[in-house]
Amino acid sequence: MDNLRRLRLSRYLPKAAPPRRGMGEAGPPAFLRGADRRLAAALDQLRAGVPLNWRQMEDDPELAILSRLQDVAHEGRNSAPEEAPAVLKATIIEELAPRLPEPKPQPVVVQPKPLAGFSESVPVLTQVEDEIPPLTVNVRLIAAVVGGVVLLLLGLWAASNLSHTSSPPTFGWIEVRQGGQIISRQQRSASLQAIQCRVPGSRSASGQVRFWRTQSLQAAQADAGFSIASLPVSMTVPSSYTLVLANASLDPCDGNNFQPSDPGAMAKLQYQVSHWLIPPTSAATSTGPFDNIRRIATEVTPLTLFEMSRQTASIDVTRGTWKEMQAGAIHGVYWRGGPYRDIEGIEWIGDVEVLMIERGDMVMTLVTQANQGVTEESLLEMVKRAE
Amino acid sequence: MRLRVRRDKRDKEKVRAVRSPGLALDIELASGMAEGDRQALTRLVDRHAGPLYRYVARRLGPGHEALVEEVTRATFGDALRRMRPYARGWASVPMQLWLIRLANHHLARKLKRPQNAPNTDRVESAELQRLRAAMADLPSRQQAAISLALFEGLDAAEIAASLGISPARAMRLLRHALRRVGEQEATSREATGGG
Repeated sequence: MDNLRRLRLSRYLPKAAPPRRGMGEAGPPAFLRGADRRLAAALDQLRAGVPLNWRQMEDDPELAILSRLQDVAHEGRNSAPEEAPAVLKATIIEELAPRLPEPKPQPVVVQPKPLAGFSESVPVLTQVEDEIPPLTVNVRLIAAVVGGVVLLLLGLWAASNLSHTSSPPTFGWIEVRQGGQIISRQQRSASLQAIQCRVPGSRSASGQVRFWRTQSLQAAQADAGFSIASLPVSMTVPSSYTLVLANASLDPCDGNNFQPSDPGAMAKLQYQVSHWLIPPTSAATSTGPFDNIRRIATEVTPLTLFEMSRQTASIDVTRGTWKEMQAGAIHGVYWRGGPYRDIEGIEWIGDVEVLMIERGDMVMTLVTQANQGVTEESLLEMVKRAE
Repeated sequence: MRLRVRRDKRDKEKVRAVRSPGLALDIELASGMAEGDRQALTRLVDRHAGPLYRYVARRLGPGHEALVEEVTRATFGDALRRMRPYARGWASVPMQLWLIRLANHHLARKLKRPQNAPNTDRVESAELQRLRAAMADLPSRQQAAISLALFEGLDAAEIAASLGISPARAMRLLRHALRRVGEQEATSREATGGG
C-alpha cells in the first residue's frame, strides 16, 4: 500500500489544460513557462499600474531591472506627442492616393418590373408586365411595304422585258423575222455548213414549194439523207391526243429529182390530230348510256410537220405573239397569229399555232389551226416524243 | 530542443488566431482602399498615423523629428503594397501592431547608418539618457522589445505580434535585452561614479 502511494499516480493522470490567453485577455499567455511566464505576468501587472513587489524581484534580476526602469519608461512615454502632425498625415494621403486603383463603377441596380394583373381578391395568375407594342395598324408601314413590293415587281418586269429585247434569241438554223428584219442571231459550229439546194427554179409559179407525195414514211425516209422523225401515235398532256399520219411527201434538194439519201431534201408529214375528252383506253370501264358519245373526239385538227436538216428555216412573227422555247435539247420559237404562210407556201386562214424548233442540225416546224384543241404544251410534247 | 520548436509553432498559431475588435474596421478600410476608395485611405491614415508616429518618436527620442516622419511615411507606403491580407480579410494581427512591425524593419535599416546628434532644446533626464545609450548598443530587435515593453506598455502577446515572433521568443528576447541594459547601466553608473 505504501508502495502504491509512492507511485504518485497523479503524475501520470492528465492535467487540466491551463487557460489560454491571447491579446486583450487578462493574464500572461498560458503556454509560457518559468521566467518567460513571470516576465509576461510582470508586464501585465505594470500595465495595470501595480508595481512589482520585492518577492517577484528577489530571484529574477530581469524583473528587478524592469521595475527600476519604470520611472524612466514613464518619462519616455511622455516625451513624444500623442498625435502625428496634420501636415504629415496630409502628405501621406497625397502620396498614397495616386497609388490606389481606379474606383470600380457602381453596378446598375435594375428595378424589378411590377406585376400586371395582381389582385388581392381575384386569383389571377400574375405575369411580368412587358413592353407590348400598340396593336393599332400602322398604315404608313403597310403602304410602304405594298409600295416596295409593287416597285420590286415593276423592276423585275422591266428587267425581264429589257433582257428579252436586249438579248435576241440565238439559233443555229432558225431565223426569226419581225417587221421585215431579222431579230434573231445565228450561231453554229463552223463545221456545220448549210446545204444550198433551194434554187429559184424549183418553186412553182405561185411561189409554192412542190412536195412529192411518197407511198409511205419509209419510202420518204429512203430518199431523205436524214432521219425523218414521226410524231407519237397518242399522248396525254393532260388531255389525250391521237395522231394519224395522213400522208408523207418529200421535196428533193434540186426540186424535181429524187436521189437516195438526199441530205438537202425536205420532208412534210400531214397528221390528223384528234383531241379526246376521255382517253380511249378507259372505255372498258364505262357503262353509262352516254359513254360512246363522250368518247367521241371533240376536235379533229390537221397538223403539218416540216422537217429539214442543215437548212435555215425562217418564221415571221410580226402578226402575232411569240416566245422563245427551251426544253432540254429542244430550242425554238412558238408563234400564234395569222395569217400564216408556211414553208410550202400555203396560206393558212385564221389564227395558227406554229412551233419551229431545232434539235441538233434538224429543224422541225409544226403548223396547226389555233383554238382546235391543240395547245402550246401539246405541240411541245409532240416534238419531245418525236422519233 | 524539438519540443521547444513545436511549442513555439503552436504559440505562433495562437497569436495569429487572435482577433481584436478594431481588426474588423481595419479590414473594411483596407477593402475600400483596394477598390480605390480615397475616403477609406484618409480614415486609415487618420486612425493609425498617430500611434505609429508616437512609437517611432518614443523609440528615437527628441530631436529626430525628420527621421520619425520619414520612417512613418515609408511605413505607410510599404503597408499599401502589402495590404492584401487585410483587404481580403485574411489578417489576424491588429493593423497597429503590423504597422509597428513594418516600422521596425525601416528603423533597423535607418539605424545601421550613423545618425546626427539630436537637434532639440528638450533635455531628458540622465536616467533616460543612460537608457537610450544602453539601448543603442543592443540589436535592433532587442531595442524594439525594450521600447514596446517600457514606452508602449504592451503585454507579451502584443510584443510578439509587433515583432512577428512567438510570445515565448519575445519574452526571451526581452529578458536578454533587460539584462544587457542592466549591465550597461551598471557600467555607466560606475564610470560616472553615480549611485
